[in-house]
Amino acid sequence: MALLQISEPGQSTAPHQHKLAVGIDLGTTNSLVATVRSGHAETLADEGGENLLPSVVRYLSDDSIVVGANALRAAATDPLNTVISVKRFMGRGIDDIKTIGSQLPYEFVTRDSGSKMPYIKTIAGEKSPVQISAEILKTLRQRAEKSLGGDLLGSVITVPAYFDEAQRQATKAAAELAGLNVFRLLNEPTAAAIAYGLDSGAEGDIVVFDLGGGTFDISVLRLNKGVFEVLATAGDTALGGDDFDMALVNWLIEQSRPGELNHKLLRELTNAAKTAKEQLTDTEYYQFDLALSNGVQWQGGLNRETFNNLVMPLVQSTLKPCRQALRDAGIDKNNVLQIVMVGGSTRVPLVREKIGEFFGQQPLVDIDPDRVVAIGAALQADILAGNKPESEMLLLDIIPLSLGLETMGGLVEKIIPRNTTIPIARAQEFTTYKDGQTAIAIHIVQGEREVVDDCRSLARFELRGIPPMVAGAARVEVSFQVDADGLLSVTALEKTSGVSSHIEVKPSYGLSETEIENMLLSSFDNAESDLALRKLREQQVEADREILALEAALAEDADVMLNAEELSMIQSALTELKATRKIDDADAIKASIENVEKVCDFYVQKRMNQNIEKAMSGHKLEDFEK
Amino acid sequence: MYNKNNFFAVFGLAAQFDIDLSELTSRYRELQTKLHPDKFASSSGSEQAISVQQAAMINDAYNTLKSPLTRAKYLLELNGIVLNDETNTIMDPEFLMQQMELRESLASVKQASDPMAHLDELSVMLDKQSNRLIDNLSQMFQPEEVDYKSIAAEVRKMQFYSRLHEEMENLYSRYEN
Repeated sequence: MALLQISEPGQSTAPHQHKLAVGIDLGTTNSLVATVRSGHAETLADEGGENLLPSVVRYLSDDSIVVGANALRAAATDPLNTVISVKRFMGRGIDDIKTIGSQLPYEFVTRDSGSKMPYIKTIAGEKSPVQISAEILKTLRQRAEKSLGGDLLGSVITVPAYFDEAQRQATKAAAELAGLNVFRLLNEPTAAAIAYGLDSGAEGDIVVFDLGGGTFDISVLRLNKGVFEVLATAGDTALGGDDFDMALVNWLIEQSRPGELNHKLLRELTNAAKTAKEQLTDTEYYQFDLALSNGVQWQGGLNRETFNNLVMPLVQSTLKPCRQALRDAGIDKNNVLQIVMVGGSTRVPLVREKIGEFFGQQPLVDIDPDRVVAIGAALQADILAGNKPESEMLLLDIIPLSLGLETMGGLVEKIIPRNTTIPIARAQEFTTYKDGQTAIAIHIVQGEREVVDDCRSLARFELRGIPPMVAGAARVEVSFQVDADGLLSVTALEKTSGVSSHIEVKPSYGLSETEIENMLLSSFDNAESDLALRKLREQQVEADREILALEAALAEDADVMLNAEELSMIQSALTELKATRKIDDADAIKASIENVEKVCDFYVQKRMNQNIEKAMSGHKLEDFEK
Repeated sequence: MYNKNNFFAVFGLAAQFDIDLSELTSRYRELQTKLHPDKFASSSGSEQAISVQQAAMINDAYNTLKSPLTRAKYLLELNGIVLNDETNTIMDPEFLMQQMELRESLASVKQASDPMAHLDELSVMLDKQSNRLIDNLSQMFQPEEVDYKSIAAEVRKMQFYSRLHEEMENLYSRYEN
């Protein structure tokens, strides 16, 4: 519980100890890990000096797993067991994946009839996108621990701003599976803004244009005295550099006529297209010299103009979300202070040119667009770990898509509109439509459309046990709460009877708790004991934090806030926790922590209220008394 | 004592319609800088939970007070008037006439040769008319003895504009590109 330290956040514990925290950019094409060392944010390299880890995972028949560049090299020879761009499948159901691309080499299966969670069939068994992403994250975690020489206290993982609830849940599950403690999920463009903004100290409205391998995001932020306020975000979770490659592959197929296509050929063509695209960033002309595995050979040239024509529709389609975001933010494109470019695909000269034209100013490319997100995430992780207690930096982020409920006739009632600053809680009352109705079905959806079928279904649950009443007499209050990660929980309460029900939204095709547990088990080598050990370590760290913070709080204000009886109650709970901390029993420590939290609940509330008052002191006090 | 039931008090502002928006915003930022969950990321349990609740309340309060429509509604609520019974309200016929015209004009976007220009034009007109309503409201909240019934009628008019505004946004999204 660590009692509130508002005047000096994070300083209650050992102030000189630098806590290890990392920022991770889990990208479609490449992933990176970064940290702040001696006040400077930097990406961490592997033993070979490479910073970028290709987001590629290959499964071998002996159950071993290869991640990164070595896996990527095998993509053409072993396409079925080598998973590329897994981010595109995160939080998606099997039906969504069919629409993502017909040219995907993988064989997707679902496990049971109820779940829409797709698994990829590999030689080492069926693997979910969450598991595959966890392998990438695990590799980065190990790299960081090796490089920093210790266990990580926590991490900030970035996600596209336009990721919906299901995609965020899936990302968080993958991080947990990889053994990472997640301080926060951070939106990629916001991370980039931190990397630029903290540096420059600029004040005003900035636009972050983030075109990665598989996703496109546009965010508008307002910077003021260290506060980063996201005003609006828009984008397309299925648009990115991969689509540029595909456009080029289609052109190559037309030109080179390689005969009947298979996955292997397609991979070879994609690799050739990628190389051409990259070369055309700096040169005006690229000469293909194809020697495909089926014996087909083709030579031919591609100039930048032809390339531009091929990708023009894709570049144009980024402008609509730009207009949308500007309108939602209520600002004019001519009043934008800076345009920040993020993501490898913003290296394409046509992208820079068109965006420059649209905003009437040259976009910023000072920080390597591949690294800027990881660097921003590392800066945020450093602050969240409490390494910079004096920092005034604050991020106010928003939800990208509206959250709502299904009402009569398959329509959507929006409860929290898109671009609302989080955390946020909202409640709305509903009623029964039939006499004697004793249950109410609650269907939670996300999206902007008015009809349920056009929105993404997040979860369903039922509130049962409503006493029979005439239609319209029951008063069911449905409350949505979105936390600072953008994750939703929903509570329903029938007010006349007090019947209630609660759900943490886990998307219907997401992972069940048991599935996560099973994966955790299978992802550790000595499954049982490792997992138990990790649980114990986590609880011990938690207990230490509680003890330190509670002692600090008591020292500060126990004499004015607590009477003798309250103080002795708290102290006996604290003594008990200290005793349990010493025995190696995770469950017992957990119970002790919970006990301390329960006993101290009123004290925390009291301190929080006092802190609000303190936060407002200096303003006209008489106003508060009205 | 701090009163969580009054959004104005949260920001140390007097409960009135005319407020200084820049003051509201700067106090909002100041509060979030101290209470946001990010400030408690390495704390745990109930502390984080309370911080989420507090930050959510402050966001809600800020959103409510920021826009004139929700601010006016909130002031009515504080004075015991809840606006949710729109079905049996009698609107002034001149206003209804004006609304019908605006709607027809919105509907005609589909036939316009340049829909975006048509929307821009409508948008300017809409802003002008709803700004006039806001000025009216500001006047009506001034006297010692405020006539909340009349204000409620005026606020209902503003709701019409707010809905028109939403529809216009949707049309903008559709006709771009």
